[in-house]
Amino acid sequence: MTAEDFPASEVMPETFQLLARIALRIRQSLDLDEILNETVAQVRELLDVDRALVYRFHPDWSGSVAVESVTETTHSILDRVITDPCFEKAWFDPHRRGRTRAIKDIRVAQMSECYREFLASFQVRANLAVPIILSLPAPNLESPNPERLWGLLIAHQCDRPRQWKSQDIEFLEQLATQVAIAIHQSELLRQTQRELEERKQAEVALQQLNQKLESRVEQRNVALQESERRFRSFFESAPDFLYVLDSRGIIEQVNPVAVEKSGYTEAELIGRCLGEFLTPEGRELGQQQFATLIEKGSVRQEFDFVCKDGRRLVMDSSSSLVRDESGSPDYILVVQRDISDRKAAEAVLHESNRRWQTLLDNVQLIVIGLHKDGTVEYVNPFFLKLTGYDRSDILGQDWFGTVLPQYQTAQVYQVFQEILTQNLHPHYQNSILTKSGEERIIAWNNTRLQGMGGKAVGTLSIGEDVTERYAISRMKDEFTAVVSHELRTPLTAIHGGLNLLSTGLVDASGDRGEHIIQIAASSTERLVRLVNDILELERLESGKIQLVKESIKVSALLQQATEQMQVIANRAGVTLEVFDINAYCWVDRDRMTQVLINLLGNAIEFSARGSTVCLSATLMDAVGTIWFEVRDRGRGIPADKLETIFERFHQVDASDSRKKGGTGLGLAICRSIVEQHGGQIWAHSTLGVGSSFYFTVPQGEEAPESGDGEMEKRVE
Amino acid sequence: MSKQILIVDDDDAVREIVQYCLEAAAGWEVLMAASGREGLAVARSQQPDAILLDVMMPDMDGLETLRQLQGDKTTQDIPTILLTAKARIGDRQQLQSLGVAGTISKPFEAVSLVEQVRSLLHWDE
Repeated sequence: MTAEDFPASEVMPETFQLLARIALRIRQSLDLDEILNETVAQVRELLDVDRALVYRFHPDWSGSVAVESVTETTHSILDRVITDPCFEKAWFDPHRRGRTRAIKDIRVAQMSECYREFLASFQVRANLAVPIILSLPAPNLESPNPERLWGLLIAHQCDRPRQWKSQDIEFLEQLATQVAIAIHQSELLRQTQRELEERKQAEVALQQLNQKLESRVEQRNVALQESERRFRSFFESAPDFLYVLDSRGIIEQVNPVAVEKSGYTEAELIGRCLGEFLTPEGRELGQQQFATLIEKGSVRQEFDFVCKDGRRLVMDSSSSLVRDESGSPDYILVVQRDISDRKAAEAVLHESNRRWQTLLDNVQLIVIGLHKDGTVEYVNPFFLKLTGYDRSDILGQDWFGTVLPQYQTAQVYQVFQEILTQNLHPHYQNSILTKSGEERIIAWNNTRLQGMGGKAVGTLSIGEDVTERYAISRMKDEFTAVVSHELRTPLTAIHGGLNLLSTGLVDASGDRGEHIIQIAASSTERLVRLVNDILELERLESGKIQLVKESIKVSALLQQATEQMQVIANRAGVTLEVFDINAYCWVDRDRMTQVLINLLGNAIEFSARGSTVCLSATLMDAVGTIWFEVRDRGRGIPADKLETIFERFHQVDASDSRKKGGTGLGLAICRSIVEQHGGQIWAHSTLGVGSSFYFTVPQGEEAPESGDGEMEKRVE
Repeated sequence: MSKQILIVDDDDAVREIVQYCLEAAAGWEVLMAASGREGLAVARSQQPDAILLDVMMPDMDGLETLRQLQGDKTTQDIPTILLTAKARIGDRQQLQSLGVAGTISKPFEAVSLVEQVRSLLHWDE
């Protein structure tokens, strides 16, 4: 700017020079503070005012003194922030439109009292305020440049009123314009510097980001290489068959294990479909699985892989589909584990289990498995059959509370504990209850079951139902005792009697001696009968006696028996009555006569003198049997003895029987003979009235006598 | 003073032979009963010095007779010897535990019988 830029007529030479100088400074300097300070210093000097200042508005229209120049006697208001509400806001708009406000004397000027006091507080007497308006860049070429009220250039006269001259005002206004230019330039500069700074920072940040990215890429590369190395290592050393297939199932890569174990070379495998190495069934299954793989992304299946030498390997095969970025199938990873050995072991185990299961299911022994807490974990079908329980009745139940008779519970539980803790009682015998409450005696073979670490987890017991055997054994013992008693009793009389005589304690020729000889003789006869009967019965029951059966006329049989018993009947004063029939029976003549003689003998023995014993036979044509009956009028047999009298040594009254010369085996012999003829024997009786003994034998056919006079006989 | 002994046995022959043995070999007085029930009655009424009791008898056997003898204040102190045909040692030991003076197995010799009775009843002195 030069002095020519200003209207010469209205500007004093000094002010003109000042304006020119400031304009020059503005163009030469970009230091706003320096320009403003010089401006206010020159204004104060040129206008000879007490205070010159530049006031800057804040965005909220408060403001602060940016620069100031004051006389020595005027106090400084530099940096004062002015928020006084009395500042007349009415002047904002005029200032914004460029109007200058000149006040000659605040004491008389028209203004609010509040503002007057406000100015007075700064010792102001006369005030000249010129707006500093910045012209902002237009948003487009057609639009006028928008303006902004930046601040005020102010001159204060403090010591006296002052009539501001138009030159003063004009000077100050032109100066404000120059200041506005300087501010605008300064702001542009600052903005440029700020932008430069921002750009520089952005460049630095970009550089740092680049470095980071480069570092990250580097790390990624290292990680990728490591990953690749690991994958390669895994691929080459994995014990399973590993393949990489393309999306159609063609082998692209295969690991050394697959090459080695399959017997194919890598070249024979690569480029071929994996399905080609499976069995036909596996190939078909593989095709189905391939569709599932494409649909679901992964499949697992067992296949038989056929090696080059024809061996088949059972493979547990897992396939995973990998898709590319667009989602299309890219390649397939396949892992195949050779489980041939495991499969073979499983098959052996399965077969072994099946055999065990079959054994347990079919063995005619009880098998039970108990948990260590006593609950039932297993019972075999034979146990259920024997006891009548359902599996649901017994599994999970407490064995001791469910199956054992109450009187044995505590004792058997103790045994169970000793099996678990000390492995005692490999053999034990106790009773169990069936579902119906029947008691069965079981002989157990116990095994302690041990888990990991040898701790007892339960027991497995195999049991045999020995109830019948036990009963037979007891009967045998009882029978032995009875036989012993029956043999020793006459022996005692014989031995004791003869001993008395032989030692001379009793004189054999005396009465007592003769009596002892009689006792010894009758006891000897009894012993002989007994021994004969025992041997006879033993031979009959063991089948050592063969029956020679023939068709015999019933009348002949009855006659033979009665003839043999007639003498005894006569001696007992008993009459024998016979009711004959015209029929034949199919029997062993001697044995059947023996049965009739036995029954007749019993009937005569127990009949009172003068009574009658009837012997009769009836033909039961419909069933083809002959029904014999021997009836007496004796004292009768109690009802509870009618069954047992046919058992050995079960006489109604043993001593009574002995008195009558019986051995206690006659009826047992009769039953044995009748049963061996296929017949039955039984008795009816009424106490005090008499008894009837019945037996049946098969009917025989009427057979003509052969030439040599012998009837047909058959040995059975 | 002569001892009085009761023989309880259902077999007539055995009973008589035992009687002859005791009388001839020891000179003891012998009472006889042919059943457990009869033996109880004789024991109560006659209070013998000892009882020889057969084990195996019909109806009331020797063990039941013994139980009743031991349960009766008038007979519980009479020493009882069981006559048994049971040959097995285990059986005899079982009988021995019933609170009897002893057991004697059939058959026996006359002198041996008397000696066994004396020994079991401590009548030696």
